[in-house]
Amino acid sequence: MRIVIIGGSHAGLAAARHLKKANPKVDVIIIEKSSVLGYIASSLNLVLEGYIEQLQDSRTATASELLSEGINVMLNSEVIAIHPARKVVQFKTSTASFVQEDEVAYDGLILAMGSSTFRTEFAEDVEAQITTYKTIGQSRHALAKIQSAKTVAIVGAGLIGFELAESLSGQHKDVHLIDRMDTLLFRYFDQEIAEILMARFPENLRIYLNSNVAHTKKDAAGNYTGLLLSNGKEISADIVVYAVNPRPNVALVEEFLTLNLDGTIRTDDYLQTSDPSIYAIGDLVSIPFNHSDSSLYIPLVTNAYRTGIIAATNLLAAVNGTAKIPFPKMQRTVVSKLFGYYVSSSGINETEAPYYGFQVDSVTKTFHSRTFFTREENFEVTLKLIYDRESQVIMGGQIITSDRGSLEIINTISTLIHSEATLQQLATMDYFFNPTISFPLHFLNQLAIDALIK
Amino acid sequence: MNLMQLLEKNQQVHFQILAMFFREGSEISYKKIAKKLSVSAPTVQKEMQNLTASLQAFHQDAMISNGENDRVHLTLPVDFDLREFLYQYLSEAIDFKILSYVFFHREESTTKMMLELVLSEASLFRHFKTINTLLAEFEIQLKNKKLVGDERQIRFFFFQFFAESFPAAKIKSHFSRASTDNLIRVIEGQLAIKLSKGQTARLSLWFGLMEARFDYRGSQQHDGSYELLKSLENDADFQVLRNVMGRYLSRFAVSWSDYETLYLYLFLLAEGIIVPSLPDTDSAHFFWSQISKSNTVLLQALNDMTPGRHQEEVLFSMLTTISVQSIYQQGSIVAFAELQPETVSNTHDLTTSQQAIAALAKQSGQVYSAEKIQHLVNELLLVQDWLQVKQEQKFIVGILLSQSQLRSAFLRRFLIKELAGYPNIHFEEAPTVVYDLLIVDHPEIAEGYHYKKQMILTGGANPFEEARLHAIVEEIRRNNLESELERV
Repeated sequence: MRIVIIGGSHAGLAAARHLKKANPKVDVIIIEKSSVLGYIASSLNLVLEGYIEQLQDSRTATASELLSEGINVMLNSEVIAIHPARKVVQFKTSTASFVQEDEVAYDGLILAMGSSTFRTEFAEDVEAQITTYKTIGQSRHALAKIQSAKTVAIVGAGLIGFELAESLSGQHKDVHLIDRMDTLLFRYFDQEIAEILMARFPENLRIYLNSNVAHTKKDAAGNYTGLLLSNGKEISADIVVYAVNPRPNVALVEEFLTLNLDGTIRTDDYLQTSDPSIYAIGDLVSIPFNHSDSSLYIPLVTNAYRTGIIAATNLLAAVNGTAKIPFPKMQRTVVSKLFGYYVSSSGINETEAPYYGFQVDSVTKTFHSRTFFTREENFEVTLKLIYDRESQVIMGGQIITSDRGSLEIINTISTLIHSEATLQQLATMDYFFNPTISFPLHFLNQLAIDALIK
Repeated sequence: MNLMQLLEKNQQVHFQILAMFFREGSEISYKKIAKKLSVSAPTVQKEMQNLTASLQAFHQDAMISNGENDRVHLTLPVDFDLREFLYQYLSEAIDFKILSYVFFHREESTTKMMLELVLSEASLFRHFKTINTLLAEFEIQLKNKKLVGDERQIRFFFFQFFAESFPAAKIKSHFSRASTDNLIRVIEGQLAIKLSKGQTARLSLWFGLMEARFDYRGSQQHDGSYELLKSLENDADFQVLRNVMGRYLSRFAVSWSDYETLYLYLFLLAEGIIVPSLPDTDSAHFFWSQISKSNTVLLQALNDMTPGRHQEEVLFSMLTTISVQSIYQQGSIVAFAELQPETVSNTHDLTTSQQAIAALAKQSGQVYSAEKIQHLVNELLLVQDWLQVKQEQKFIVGILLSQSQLRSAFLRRFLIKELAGYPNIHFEEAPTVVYDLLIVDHPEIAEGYHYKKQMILTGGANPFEEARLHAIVEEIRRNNLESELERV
């Protein structure tokens, strides 16, 4: 049996490795357009902050590693057509010395082409000053520009934009962060948590909320000088970085697969597309969210891995004689390190709850110590718990903390949401106690009790 | 576009016959139908038989029966759903099927469309040509099975198309979703408004259209709304909606733009769902200055006066509704059994409304289609009617009689019967009320009462007294309307 995977990013790699583990006899081929496998999209920040020296170090696998695992890899190979009736993928391999077209037949096909960041129409006008950094090619291009810029405007104050803003402000550049929404990181955090973070912003970071880019500014000679916002504010910036959500790359399959209205590939619960031989994973699909009936488009690396593993399992179900696994609902758990604080979120936030038809309530508490007897300078953790007003089922949580260790609480909250635990259960849930390590009641126990007596 | 234009020729005849019944009453002669439709009597008879069969297939108690001489009689039972009946006809008409297919199968090829609709290529393109003639007033066209034109107009066209042709249950099943129901509740909360069931259904349709039109290829045209968007971006209501839409649309993979908010904002204004606060009309704000100019023309038509800073909010909202439709929505779909202007108001009001809409067209530099003119004239007439009813709601009549109990009771019944035809006339006998009209049988009895006009009865209950009574009532209503408009 041969399974072809189009795309060698996180989802494709996770699927390939799981296929081989689950059934070593399966012939697995990855076709990857670039020369890098498993590139981490935020590697630009890793270089800027000194975690890695060069962008190409930011890969999660090499071709030789995969070959040693029995996985065939075709780098620099772009799929130019899929022929579902013949079950054949046609591709073109390009290197410095040759270009060659070929095709490969498949029994099962996994689509993992990922997504691309789009730009608005005005971007074409000043192409040289505007950049994104999702692929390694874009990142190389962006890095050169960013390193020489003194002032950078970032459009999009989501996690991607914020992480870049933090890296750049640490480089002593003037950073302007622009977003059309009224709240920072609105997908994940409520206003009160965002405000704690805002208090930590350095002086060289300026935020513009409820603001849109109206157009670019140019001098008399027609040279780009900056941006004009819709509210009339002018921003001088050497370059503009687009840090907005990407869109799925579906051009290869839109003629023969059923798509959702938003352009993601329609799959069943098992990630199988409208063609039974083809599965779609990673940034190509929307996945079910938490307690709601809605699917969400959340292009996170964690979802890429999980969809890859589920699709691989299900593709092999008939061969291995195992049951298919539906993709579980996600909690949309995210974490980030911003301005010396760790922020994390899981599940529904309070502002968005009505959009999913929920009436929720919340409790928020800040702790300055975690034990009776041990003093830690600057220890602070603020926890927010969101729960259904009637059933008191836990639906979401947010954390902002100075302590890396406390961040793990978000995974506990994710588990509580997944298992639909209630406040009553959490109030007396059995967590460890040691007088030099913790309080008798865990932070979560205390929050649940506060919520119950509220 | 008249919805009837999408029907096949023989179907159109059926609805023309129905329209005649609706206009003339439940009984009509074959001869008159043949003459009006300019067809032969045998053709009328044949189509009448077909129509009868269709009516009875739809509802067993619906029928057309032969009366005396050459007269025929239409019976529609009380639970006869005309809209559903029309939809049955439309769903068999090729042009209607093509437009529906274009919407619901946006990504399918022309070949598949031909196969599914069982049409040859030549036939399909012939239909495209006919449809394009109808779409011209919307400034959109059908090219290679896709609707081409500004997205604002495409949304507006499809909204009208489905709102006017699909039965409510079909709209619900095709367009309503739990997620957009939640979104509507969020909008209600954020804008502090409460939608009626009808408004909720229409907004639900709007959001269904929005999702069906998601532009993941980035191929839609929005150029026609660029200036408008720039002028509204800092508007408070617009920013509230933008944040609501941002939160809702963030679940999808689409690159949502502020045009989505703009189209929603215009829709809510045009539907009268949001009532804008009165802006500074002297400001150079592009959008509001346009609306203000347009509202001025409409208000002048209502009472030859210019709007002041203290316009009544509801009237301002109603006029804004018409102005938004007038300036930002090209074309209109006229449904079957649409209100006819002459039934809404009198000739004088109709003429002034027509003049006002003509002035709006001139001011905007646009050529309005006949259907759009009819729609806007109707809208303006309905505002006039609303103003009249508002005024009449305050019309209070008092009756004070001092004759014998039996005689007084008889006269009272006579007066009440005569005035019953006027809406919202209230009869009071309290001395603290200020009466618009106090009817007495002798003037001394009115002592201590407050009134604007007094009528002393002649004592008779005859045609002369009837005419006298109606003349004074009409005069008071006219005066009340004028003073109401002056107050506004």
